[in-house]
Amino acid sequence: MTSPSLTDDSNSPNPLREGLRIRPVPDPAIVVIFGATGDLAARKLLPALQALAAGNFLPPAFAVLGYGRRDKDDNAFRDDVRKALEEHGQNGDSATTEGFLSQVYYQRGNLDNAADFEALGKRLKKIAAERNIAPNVLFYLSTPPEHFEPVIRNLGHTGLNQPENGWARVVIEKPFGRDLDSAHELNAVVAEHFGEEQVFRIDHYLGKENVQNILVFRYANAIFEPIWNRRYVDNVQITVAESLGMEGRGDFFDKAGVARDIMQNHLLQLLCLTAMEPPVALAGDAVRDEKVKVVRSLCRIEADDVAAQTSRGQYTSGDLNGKSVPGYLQEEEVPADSTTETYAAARVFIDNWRWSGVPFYLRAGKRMPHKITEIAIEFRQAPMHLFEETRGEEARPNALIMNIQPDEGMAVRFYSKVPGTQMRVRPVVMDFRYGSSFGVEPPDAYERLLLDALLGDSTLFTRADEVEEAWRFFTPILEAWEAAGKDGMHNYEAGTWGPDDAQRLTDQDDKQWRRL
Amino acid sequence: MEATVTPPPRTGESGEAAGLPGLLTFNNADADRIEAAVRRLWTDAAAEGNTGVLRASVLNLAVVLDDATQLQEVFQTLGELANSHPARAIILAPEANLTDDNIRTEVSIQCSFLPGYSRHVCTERIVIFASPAAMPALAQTVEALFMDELRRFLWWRRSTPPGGPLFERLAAKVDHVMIDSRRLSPRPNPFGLIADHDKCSLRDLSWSRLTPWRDILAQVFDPPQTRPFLQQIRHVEIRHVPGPQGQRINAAVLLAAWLAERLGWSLTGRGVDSELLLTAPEGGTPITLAFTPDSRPSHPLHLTAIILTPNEGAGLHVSIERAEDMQTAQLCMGPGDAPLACKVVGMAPMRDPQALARELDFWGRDEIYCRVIPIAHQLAEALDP
Repeated sequence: MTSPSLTDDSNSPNPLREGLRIRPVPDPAIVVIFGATGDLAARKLLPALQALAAGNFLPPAFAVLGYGRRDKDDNAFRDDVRKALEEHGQNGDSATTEGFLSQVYYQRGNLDNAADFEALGKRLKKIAAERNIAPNVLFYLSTPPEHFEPVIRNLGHTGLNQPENGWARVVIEKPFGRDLDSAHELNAVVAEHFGEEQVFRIDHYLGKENVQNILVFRYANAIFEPIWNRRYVDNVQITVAESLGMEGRGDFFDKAGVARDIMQNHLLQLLCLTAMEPPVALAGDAVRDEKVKVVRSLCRIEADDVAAQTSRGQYTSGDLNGKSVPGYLQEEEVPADSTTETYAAARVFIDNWRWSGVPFYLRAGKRMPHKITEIAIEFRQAPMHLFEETRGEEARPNALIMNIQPDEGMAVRFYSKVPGTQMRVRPVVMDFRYGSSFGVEPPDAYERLLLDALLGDSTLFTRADEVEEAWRFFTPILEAWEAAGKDGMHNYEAGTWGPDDAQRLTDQDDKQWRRL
Repeated sequence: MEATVTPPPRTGESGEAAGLPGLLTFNNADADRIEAAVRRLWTDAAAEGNTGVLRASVLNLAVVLDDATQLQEVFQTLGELANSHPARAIILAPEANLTDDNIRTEVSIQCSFLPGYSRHVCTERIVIFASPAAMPALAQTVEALFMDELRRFLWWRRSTPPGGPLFERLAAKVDHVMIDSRRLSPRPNPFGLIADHDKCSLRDLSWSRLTPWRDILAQVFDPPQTRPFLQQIRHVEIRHVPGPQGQRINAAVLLAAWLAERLGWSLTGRGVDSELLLTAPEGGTPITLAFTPDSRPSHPLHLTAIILTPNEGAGLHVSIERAEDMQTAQLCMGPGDAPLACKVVGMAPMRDPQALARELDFWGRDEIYCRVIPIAHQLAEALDP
């Protein structure tokens, strides 16, 4: 028997890790959650961390330190976390849950007070010493965006951004800026204190299984690549529809609008993954390089063309799921004269070799008939004259639909003969439901992304240039809308698929929005 | 996700279960006839009232049992497995009371209802009953029943080590063979028989079940600062619940063999009280290895603890001990002369569907297993010469 790699050198690979066929666990670390008493921490972050702990995905030496303005001690915070886990977490057994809670701490402090960050640093050292944790820290900014800058600056000024003999990483929630200038400024502040390899700008959409499956679908199946281009694709439609209204987020949403809240990030990510060229590797910068190229290739919609290439609207009262729901302007915390869009659609083109001339129709909206996120690739129509008299209904082209949520899967629409003595054809749909073929519940997006950040894998996070390019595309549109105010704002009834005006975008190419 | 297993009626020509097409039975193993029966069941499934049925298969799975009494247990396993790995399952169930020309086949579809989806997801199950002597000739039928293009797996779910005409014929027709060394008797030493086979092509569910133990141990030594302590290990104790006849379990030997292979320890002999003596590669430092029976009668054939003890006054003491309910374990570690820091980790025993799923997802060669098996053979030989 010979030793595989056992030496005195602590930098040699761990021989017990080799061949385990499971993902390595991250380095021992402390996760600091800024905004720990907030909604995102309770609903997503803490349950995700508990699930990772229950699945043994976290290292033995690990801790979570909640940071917030409210005055409470560790035990009070643990009680809060316990409640959050009961409400939003998995049904883990009590021993593992209590084990997780024993690793949870709380530190009171303000986000803009440097002295409080000095205290945070001392607390981190104390916890690290108590639990024998190396000085590795993942800072999670789960705060309103106006606090991003002061937190980053305070982390930098107190040296928490560069721990000795360890690493520091920072996860920054969306929205990252509200236009090109603000995103650029925030990137500059971040770059002043953190290297880009330390920064993880999160868009939880990228943690969804079926979003990642787009890459597998495109690059593991040779049959699609030959037809994934302008020669065969007629148009691409990407839809992110939500049936929810404001649900207590009226104030936040009214400052953002659906373009900032959904289109600039989630929807654009879907566009990138659909349109990008194959990366040289499925890791780190290789994927992000290709995504950035797509955003850079988007034909800019200049101010004088915004009205023609986009559509926006606000929902009015209507019926949804058998209930009457208020209009946007009647929602709580929404100003009665708001000009914030709850629906936005755009007709965009990608000016590159693969996609030149193929319209991409993008739409996102609130208070739609049901929740759905999908990417539909509609192919060019086959000559149907052979079946002109017998097809029995309006011809629709072949389509490949990637369902992101709620039913993750793929579907293909094609024509088939209707059984019988007559030659009649009818479109049929062949579908692959992700959950049916792989019935195991996929991990929550935040579980995947938190684990990636702890492992230092930035593939599914957004890079500085990607964020700025996205804003470079959307900012002229947003500015034109803001300048136009109510002009060009089209109402749509809650429970419908958006304003009639959106049809204008597809009409230009003699196409139709998909009926969902 | 809960599988709705609809065990087929064992008598009669056909049956219906839970509103879904049931069972077709006939007295031969004619592949064409079996395929026709499968088609008929799907036609019935698509009939009015059963439109919410989705046929799914991502692989072929041939299963060989000791005898038909294991059938219900296997149905349960396959039912759970269908949620993540819907498969056409072809099960060979020897029945000693059947004559060699008396073969019976049951064809059914098995459905699971997936929460959040509007359809049942259904897979096919073909059970062929025959005398033990008639079994080898059925390998051809099994091959004919494999669905085109899908990967082929053989689950050798027998208590006899892989070998013999039936095994050889089936193994030649599949892409991967899975065994379960936990099911094999420790005497004669099963690892020698596994090692005699092309061990690298075998998958072992017992090896998969060791994954949580291996993972937690690896986690302890992942930090660079703890890695040098691997060299300070002087004593390893593996506790296990013996089998019904008090026999030591193969998994304990497999875990010890893995540690020995990974750390380069060489077997030198046997010490007192069934301890084995090994030496570390550097300087021939002695290491003792003990297998301690644990008393948890309701959990036979399970590992309950592993304890790594360092050189006195140096190194890292590590213990992983399963709780009484077997769902969690207490991981404790620290310098040998100081209080240990402990935490609870998940350590529920990996059940057959989970272990199978893990092996079905892996299509490569498990080089570590390949290297561990000969060492397991050595250790087992030393324990029971």
